[in-house]
Amino acid sequence: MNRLYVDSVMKAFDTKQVLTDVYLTCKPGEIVGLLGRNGSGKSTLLKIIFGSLKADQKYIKVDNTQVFKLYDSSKLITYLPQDNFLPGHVRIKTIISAYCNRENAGILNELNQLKPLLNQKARNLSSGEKRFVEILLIIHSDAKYILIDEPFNGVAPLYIDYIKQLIREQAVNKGFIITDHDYRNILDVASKIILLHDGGTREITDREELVRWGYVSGTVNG
Amino acid sequence: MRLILGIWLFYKKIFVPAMAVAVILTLLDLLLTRTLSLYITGFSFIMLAPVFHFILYEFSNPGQYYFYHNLGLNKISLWASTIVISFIIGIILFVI
Repeated sequence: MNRLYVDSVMKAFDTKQVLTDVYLTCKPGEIVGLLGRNGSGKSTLLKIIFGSLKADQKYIKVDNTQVFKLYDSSKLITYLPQDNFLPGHVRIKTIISAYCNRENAGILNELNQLKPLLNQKARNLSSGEKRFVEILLIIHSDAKYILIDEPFNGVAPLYIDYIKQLIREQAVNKGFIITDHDYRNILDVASKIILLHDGGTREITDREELVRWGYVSGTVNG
Repeated sequence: MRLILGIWLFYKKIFVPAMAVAVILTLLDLLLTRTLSLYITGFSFIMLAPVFHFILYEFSNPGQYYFYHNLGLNKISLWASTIVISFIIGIILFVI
């Protein structure tokens, strides 16, 4: 079956059990919004799915292939971490050609927002510009499943709606798992909401459930 | 092809400072011994490249590893590439 399947993920840091029994799935065409309080293990979970962090226990399958470590999923899953990761000594156009196929590289090279940055080295970009480039790269990468950690953090409000639109467009053929503290943007873009609470996952079908689980206080607007 | 480009981008950052220090050490040796020895350059480069790998990636920019992870290069393969490429360049300098 075509899907990213994550089950039985357990992870502890020293004596603190962060993830106890995580289960989630993501199909191509789905945008899964992953919500949770600070320290609930959202980033930890994404790193474990990506393969860059070792779990105490996990069962992850991409389509019909079980994934054990990073190398197994290199062409199937890409991951946008919270912090900037672009190598400062490389020009943006080179970075684009490394990450994207010819078609997607062409799309990015023609974007008005990116054109002034193409010949610049990543170190010369502001944090917001770097974040914007990183998001575009990850969204347009060849991977079938895309994990995005805090995509809207540090991005100019003008670009947030644009990024959400791009995610929706690319989600036709790809599965996305997105987490961000700006939960309104997640609620807006996601087709499925998962809440990480007490180390486990709970699918949220009604926005008021976020209040009941103590993720937000009062009435959820928007 | 992208893996090779990824390894090249990763290594490029290490190559310049490691080679610069290796050349400086060679010049110091030249001043002391009055003989030009590329053996010193090659040996220094083989020793220095992993040091700069550690300083520039493990110590200063561990977050940059994710750029290469997304290209399918894990830490083990990046460390292996640093050691192998440095060794090859060092051997070439020995031979010269």
